[in-house]
Amino acid sequence: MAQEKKKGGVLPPDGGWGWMIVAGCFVVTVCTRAVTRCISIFFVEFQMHFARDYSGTAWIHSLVDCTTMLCAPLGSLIGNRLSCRVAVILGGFLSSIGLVLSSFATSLEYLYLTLGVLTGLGFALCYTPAIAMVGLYFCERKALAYGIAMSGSGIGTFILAPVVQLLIEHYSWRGALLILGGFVSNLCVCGALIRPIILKEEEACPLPVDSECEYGVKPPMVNGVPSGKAVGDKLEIDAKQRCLRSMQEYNFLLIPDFLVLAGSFLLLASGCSLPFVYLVPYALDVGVSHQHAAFLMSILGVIDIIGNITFGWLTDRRCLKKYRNICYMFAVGMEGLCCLFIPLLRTFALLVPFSVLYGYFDGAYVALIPVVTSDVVGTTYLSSALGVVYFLHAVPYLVSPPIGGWLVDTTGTYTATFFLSGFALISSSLLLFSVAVIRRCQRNQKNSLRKDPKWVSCEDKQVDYYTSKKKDLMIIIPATS
Amino acid sequence: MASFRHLILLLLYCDGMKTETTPSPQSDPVITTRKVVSKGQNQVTIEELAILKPQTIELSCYLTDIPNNPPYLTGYWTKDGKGIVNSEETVNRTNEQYILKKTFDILAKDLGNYSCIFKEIQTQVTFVLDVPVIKDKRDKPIVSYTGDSVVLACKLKQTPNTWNWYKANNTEKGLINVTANPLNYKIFIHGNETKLTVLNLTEEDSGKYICSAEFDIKPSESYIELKVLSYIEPLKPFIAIVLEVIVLVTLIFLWEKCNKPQNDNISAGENELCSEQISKLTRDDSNGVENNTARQRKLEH
Repeated sequence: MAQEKKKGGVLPPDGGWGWMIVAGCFVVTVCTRAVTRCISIFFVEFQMHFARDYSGTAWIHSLVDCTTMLCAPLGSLIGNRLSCRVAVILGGFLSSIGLVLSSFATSLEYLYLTLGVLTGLGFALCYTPAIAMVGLYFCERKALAYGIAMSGSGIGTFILAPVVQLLIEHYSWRGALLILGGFVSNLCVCGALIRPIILKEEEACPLPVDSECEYGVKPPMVNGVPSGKAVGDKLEIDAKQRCLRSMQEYNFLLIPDFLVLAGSFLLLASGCSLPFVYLVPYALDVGVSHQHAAFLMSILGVIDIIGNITFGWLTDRRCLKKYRNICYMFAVGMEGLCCLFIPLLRTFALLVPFSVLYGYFDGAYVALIPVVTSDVVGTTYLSSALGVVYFLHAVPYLVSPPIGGWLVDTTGTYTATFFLSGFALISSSLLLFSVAVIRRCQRNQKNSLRKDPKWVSCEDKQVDYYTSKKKDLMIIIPATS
Repeated sequence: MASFRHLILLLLYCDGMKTETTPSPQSDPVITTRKVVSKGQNQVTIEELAILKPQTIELSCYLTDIPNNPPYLTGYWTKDGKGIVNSEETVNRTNEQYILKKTFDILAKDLGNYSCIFKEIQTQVTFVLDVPVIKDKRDKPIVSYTGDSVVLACKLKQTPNTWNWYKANNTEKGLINVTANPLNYKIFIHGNETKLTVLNLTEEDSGKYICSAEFDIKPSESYIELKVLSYIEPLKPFIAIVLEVIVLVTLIFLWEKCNKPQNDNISAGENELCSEQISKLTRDDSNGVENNTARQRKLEH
């Protein structure tokens, strides 16, 4: 059996069962992100029933979002240790129990616990492993696969919002939460769909590191990161090796590229949530009617979905694949630029193009986050890296809307808030860009003799990645002849 | 001497003046006036007035910008579409304006739509006199469950004397008495809003609940419908979905197990051949489902 494992690794299928994984990840995104957004529909009912005001009920949404993001590393840890499948099934179980329990709520604090903590924890256990698995199954069409998978949050919100409203009308919020709990248990089906896969690259070339840098990351001592390892094998591993493995699981944290990426994600998360929260109040402030303001948000949501899928498809084209990092920086930078122009847009007709552009680039960068992360750390550490990436999103998501609100209160206009958002997004993009430029200059200085006409620093990794695949193929064929 | 006489006369005069100026309580009730300005001809204007207590009200219609500026117009009043007898008046033009006024004593039976109509220029101004109407009525019933509690609320802009809640049984309505049933009902009244909490719901609690804002002139009512369900109702779709999930998961695991024995039949030496075939297939970028079985041979637990 062990021998089989060593030689049995495969290349990313880029199709076949991979599309089932994409479908599973799509449903995971629907059940986690879309359900989180639809929870705010329950607030009016909670306010009536428990006689509390808006701020008391708004905590539920913040708790769910916060717990989902903060516990993302836990999700990836369980995915690595046990199996992505077990993690997703466990997460589905927990979140549906959380929702079912909250349908029996007798007080708002009870809801904080069941809906906020338990359901949020369940979502966290599902989200990261599912996204990581898509990265393992795809290589050539990774961006498209991620685009389709991540579009679940937009499409899910679009469909679930009226459905939840209908459920509340027919069954009141208790019945609606119960049925939503049943719906969320479909996460277990997604977990069942996720078949573990061991990739060839884990043994041959675990980490496409930058060859110019002095450090390298050693492959883990035990047989690859056991994203699909049978539970029984772990009985042989003693505590010391386990400890060693956990340190090596997080070795990617030391890569400078990842540190730069992490910094840019922190800035990104600080800026990206503000326009979603403050677009409608700003539109109402400048005189747009309620229906038009709601329509702006719908446009944002729908174009988000389009941006997800089309940008994913675009960056999979061979001509753009090498420039994927630049496409990501471009999307984030354009988003920031759009935000800077908001104070000039004071009518509905002017805000519609803003919604379209912002929605498109928002969808674009969301689809590319896992792609860019996997390009930097490789598929071995993708699960753990994604856990850290979403963890970094948590605190800015929580902190920046209140800061934006404080800015609105002190300055009296929304200009400062949108400027903050725009500058955070642009600086996130500039950080990546400047590091890439520095790398290129360093490389040009070092290798003036080597023929490297193209943009080397970021795509170099991808070139390594693809050549390693070819090398594997070469290793296999002579062995069979 | 003359000054003393003057002083007495003055005192008497002042006394007389005082009695004359003191208003007797029965005379001259407070009259509220409401006026509406209508510009041009062929206009229909509607004005809503909230009447809280019986009062005398003077309704005035001011007309301006009438073309040709005729020297006089005839106007009359109607109540709820029916003409009021002896209300026809000739209105002379004063400073480019035509003013038609009438005073009405409004009691509960007198509430309705009062219109001043000018025949020649087809202009009409309607005053809608009514108790304040409770808005934001839910057209869908409020749903709750047996054993649970529910809160029904009514709100108004004006503050009534008090609020009352009734439960409607077919055609009659019974007042909800909190002191008689303290375990089942709680009423909260805070100025212009009221909340009725019904505890320990049973199926019989379903029906129409009427909140009544008591004003001096007439109560203003609105109804809310309550539907009490048993827990079985939402449980049915929930169990259906959970069954579907269990069936799907079982199917998927079974399918994977069925494909697994094919894995074990392949000897170790053929592994590399299989992986080579697989890599060739992936190179061709084919994603037909028929290639699944070939790939799944290599996917391990």
